[in-house]
Amino acid sequence: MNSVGKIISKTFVRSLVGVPSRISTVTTVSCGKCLLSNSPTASGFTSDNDSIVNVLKEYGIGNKKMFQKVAQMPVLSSGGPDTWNDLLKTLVPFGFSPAAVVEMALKHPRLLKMTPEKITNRWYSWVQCFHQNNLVEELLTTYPMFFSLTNFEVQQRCDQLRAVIGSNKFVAILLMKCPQIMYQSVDELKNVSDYISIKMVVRNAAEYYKSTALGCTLEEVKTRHVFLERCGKYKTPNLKQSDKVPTTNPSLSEIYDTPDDEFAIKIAGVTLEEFIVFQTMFDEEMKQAKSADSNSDSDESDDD
Amino acid sequence: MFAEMHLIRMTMLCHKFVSCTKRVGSHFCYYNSKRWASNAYKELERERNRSTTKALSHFDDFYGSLFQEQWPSIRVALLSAPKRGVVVNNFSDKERILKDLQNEGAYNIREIFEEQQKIVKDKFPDEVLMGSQDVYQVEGSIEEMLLRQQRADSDQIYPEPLHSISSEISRNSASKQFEEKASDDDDNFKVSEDPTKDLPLSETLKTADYDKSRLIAPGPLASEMSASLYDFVPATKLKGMDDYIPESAHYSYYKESPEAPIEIEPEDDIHFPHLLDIFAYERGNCDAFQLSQKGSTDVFDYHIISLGSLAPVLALDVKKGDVVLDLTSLNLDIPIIISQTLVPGLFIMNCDNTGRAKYFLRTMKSYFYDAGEMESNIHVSDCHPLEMEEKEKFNKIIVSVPNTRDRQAVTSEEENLFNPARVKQRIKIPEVQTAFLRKALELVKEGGTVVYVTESMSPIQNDGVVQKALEDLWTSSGMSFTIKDLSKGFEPLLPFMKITTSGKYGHLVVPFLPNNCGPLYFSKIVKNIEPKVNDVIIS
Repeated sequence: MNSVGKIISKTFVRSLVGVPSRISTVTTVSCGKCLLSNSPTASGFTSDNDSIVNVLKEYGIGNKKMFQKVAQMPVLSSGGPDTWNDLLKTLVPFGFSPAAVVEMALKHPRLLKMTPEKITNRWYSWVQCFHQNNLVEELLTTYPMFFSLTNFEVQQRCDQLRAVIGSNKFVAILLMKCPQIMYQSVDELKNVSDYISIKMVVRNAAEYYKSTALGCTLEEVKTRHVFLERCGKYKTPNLKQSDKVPTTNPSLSEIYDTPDDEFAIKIAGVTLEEFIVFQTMFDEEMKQAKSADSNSDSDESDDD
Repeated sequence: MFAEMHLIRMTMLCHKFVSCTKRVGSHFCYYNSKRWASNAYKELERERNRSTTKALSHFDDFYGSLFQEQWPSIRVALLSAPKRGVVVNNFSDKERILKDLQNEGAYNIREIFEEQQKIVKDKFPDEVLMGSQDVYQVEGSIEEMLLRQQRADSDQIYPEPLHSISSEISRNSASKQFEEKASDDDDNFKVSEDPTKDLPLSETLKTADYDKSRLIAPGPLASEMSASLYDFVPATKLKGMDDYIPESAHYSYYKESPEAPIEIEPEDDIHFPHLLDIFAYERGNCDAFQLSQKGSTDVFDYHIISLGSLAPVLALDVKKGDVVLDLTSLNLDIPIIISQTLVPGLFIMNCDNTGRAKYFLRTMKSYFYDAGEMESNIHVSDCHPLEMEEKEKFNKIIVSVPNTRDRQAVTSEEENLFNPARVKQRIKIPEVQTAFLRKALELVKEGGTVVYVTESMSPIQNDGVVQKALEDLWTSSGMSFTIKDLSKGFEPLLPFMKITTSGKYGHLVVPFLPNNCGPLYFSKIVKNIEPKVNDVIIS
């Protein structure tokens, strides 16, 4: 991942500087600062970067690597110092540190394109959901892309998750683990949570936020559950029994947060080959079941 | 909004099981958990009472202790789609069919078998690769299961746990082996030793001890004495249990040491008939074959089989001109494989169900056109297997006995022996199997071969039955038999199915997802030409 990141950044630099790649690579690696201040090849761009650096310095940021990153990404520097100033002015009062704001912008450059009003609005929508500023701050620092979600989306998804998990704190923990939940469709999340609670009869709310199961697709959830059930390693708990009675079933985290080989060997007690074959067979089974369902539906509609 | 409300309702009810109100937007909704929960309970109750569920829990208990860490692998394979193969019809456009099947990516098992056979012979002349180790450890497991079942039986009859009974059972089981050795005539199914059991009531009353204080003499004092009628009278016998067979009787069928001399000989060479073309996909490929079409000769191109059925037919080793009998045809897989070898002089399929026999005949006709000689070589009969009298006429007999059919038992409710209404039939099935195998062993010529086949993994229905049948024949008529150990001979078939040595007398095609064949047990038994017992008597 790191090596890919380096190559991309060097390519950006080459496109910015407009010199043969070998020279620019040497320049980038040897001294990042020269690009921002003294490079004669970066004329017209240097002054903007300088002013951005000055803005950042005003907020007490002295990290050179950070300046270098800002300079390397045209998306970040194209808006000029005002966008940075606005962003910092908007987010710092909410409790974000200036360094965290720059990190957020690096992770999600669209923040720089958002108006201060929009950002404030989104912040309050998150706070309204969680009622705890520190939780929201931690969450948005880690995943600044959540600022791009509309208020309705945030409200709807958080309500759904709270209904399953039961606590704002646990919802935040879950979102820290699998942010993709916020981007799933409502039906997908509903189907997954229904499957886990009704078919798998998982009644311990802690299991939901300790695993990334809710972030999986319904097919993934079904495949692993049915595989374990067929191996005899997962017994559906008796609904009449108290949920405090301990079960021998593996936890959701053990089922859904393990790689295929570990899941097959340690959790299911079979070989990886068997699990791979099962995945293919189960896909086929699900397709057949779906086509059978659609056939029966069409038959019924014909009868009507 | 509806979806959201539904989600909240379901999840809240599922986790908390309480009636609750939940604010959703501007609406207040009241959710009645009881109604939902009641349906869920009903569904679970229905699920629990299904024969497939009962079969699965029985297998978990029994096979779990037998196969131990291999059981999850077998279990998942049992519950998944089985691997299929196709037998190419020699009477259709064979060349075209072979080409089509190869284009689909299927492999000709005969070709691979022959290649593998050469490799095995060249590379490992003396080694046994397939694993001389048993797939399961029978020793101890059956005894443990028997003990557990005896306890369960006693608990069922006496709902309260009676320590005295369980201790008595454990004492009985401990001394059982000693008693078995001491008396050869002991019946295995004898549950209690009641001397009055076979006598009529009038006879029993003559010898019975009366509690005379409880007798009421006619006269004025009768009313005073009638108080004794209210005394507690302990029960001495449970009525209505005459037909009751405890489940433990099923497990007592398996004995670890045989009472007759049973020879076991290795057989390394297995001949794959050169006209038999069977195709299957490679390991891990679970594609299904398309349904067969009729070719230019107006017969079907191929027949789709469960691939495991190939193993017992190869074990039967049909030679040219052999008279072959399928004593109990349960399906068409084995008969079609045998008939497509084109080597038997006469092949008789016997099926005691007339309707099924007619179906077999009709289907067989759709695979063979009027070829004169060949048509007359295949016959379908509908005799009861135990009523067949043609002794010493058959060179080869294959006997696929009725069994618990483990794969069907966990996937289908139809004809499921784990249905509570059929429990008696299930418990007594080893007796039926023994009778069928005995009949086959009696019918076969001296030097002929009998292959015993079941679709179960239970050692009681497999090794237990083989041993019992051989013992019975040894004690009743002095016949002796040799069991063939085909471990090495089946090495070349391993790319297509997992075959392991099972117990002492046979081989088991074990369900395994990448090659999901079986379960299928088969044992090759050869009737000795000169019974050894006669030699002993003469000498």
